[in-house]
Amino acid sequence: MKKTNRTLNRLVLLLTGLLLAIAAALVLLPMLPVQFDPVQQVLQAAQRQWQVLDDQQLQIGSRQQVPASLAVLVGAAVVVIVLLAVFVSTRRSRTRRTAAEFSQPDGRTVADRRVVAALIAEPIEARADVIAARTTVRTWKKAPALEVEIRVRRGADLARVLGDAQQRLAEWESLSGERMPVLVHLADRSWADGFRSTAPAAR
Amino acid sequence: MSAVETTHRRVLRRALHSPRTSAAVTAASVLAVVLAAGVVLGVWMFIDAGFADTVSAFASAAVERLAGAPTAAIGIVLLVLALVLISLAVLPGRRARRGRIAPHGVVVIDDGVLADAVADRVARRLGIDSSQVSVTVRARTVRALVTPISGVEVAHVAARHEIERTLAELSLEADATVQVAATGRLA
Repeated sequence: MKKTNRTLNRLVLLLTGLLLAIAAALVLLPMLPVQFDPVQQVLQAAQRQWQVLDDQQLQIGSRQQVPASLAVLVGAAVVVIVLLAVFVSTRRSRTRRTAAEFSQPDGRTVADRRVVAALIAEPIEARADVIAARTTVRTWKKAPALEVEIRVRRGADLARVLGDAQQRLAEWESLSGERMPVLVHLADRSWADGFRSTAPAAR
Repeated sequence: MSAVETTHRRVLRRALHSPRTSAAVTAASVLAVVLAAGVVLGVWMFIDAGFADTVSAFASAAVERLAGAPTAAIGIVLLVLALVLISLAVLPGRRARRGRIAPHGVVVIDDGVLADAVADRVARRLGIDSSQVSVTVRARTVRALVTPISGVEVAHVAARHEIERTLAELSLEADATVQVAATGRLA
């Protein structure tokens, strides 16, 4: 339930893939026994255009002259590098400290994420058939959203674990006075959980 | 449909599909580093004519050494990487999990967790060890492969009903099938 722009992720992958495909074509096409005329024409036209740019000089400062081709390449590369840096820096998953806010006539009460953990994750984790439970408060459209991740032991009654989780969430909704987006995730055991002992399934 | 229900549908859809963040960040980082190296190299070659001659000589020698098969290998590697990235961008990226909207939020269960639960239930119902039941969870089917005890008939119908009961308790929908292995195991 992370606030990442998925469309942008796929766009970056597509553009990088297309760039690599063009590089692969530039390397492999000249090696083919049969040369494709339209491709050859495009390559030759690009080469001629590049030569025109290369012949032109740009004035930088009072004395320095730089080939236009170099200036265009460096300028474009710098813009792309900045955009990529901005893209990478915005991919972090941000969690919230505040799970809920209650405004009253005489003030404001804020429920910290630890309140949610104490109400929901800790009782679930205390179950014999649960290895670990964790709550994370995230942001969804500028409002808090809750993610509950539960790792169950082998042999656990999944319906009972989910029923318990639903009950805790109902209590939280009653306490907070609002319905927020919630994701309950029954997750696979990690490799480290293999070192924990197996308890008999809860009856 | 209320606003919360609409949100839960979106949350469910996002939880069941990969965001591709790791792949996108890796691709963007590598591309930024390569471009930065290219900018530094290009500017340095422009400023320092001696360095430009060294780089040109190195590039010419490299092109000669890599002519033929090594160049083709590089081209093929680039092509494969390109296809991988384009596939990641275009394919839906469905995760190995299934979910539903519950009264209080969205419930998502990893296929591995579901498979373990089904295997345990089927094994208990048939009176065999859970290691004799192998469960495969696909998008629309849950299939149990049972290795029977030699000489003991497997109650297909009971096993299938157990799978359906497990799914029903979790309010999940899938077709249940049971297959019995050709060779059994000694008791």
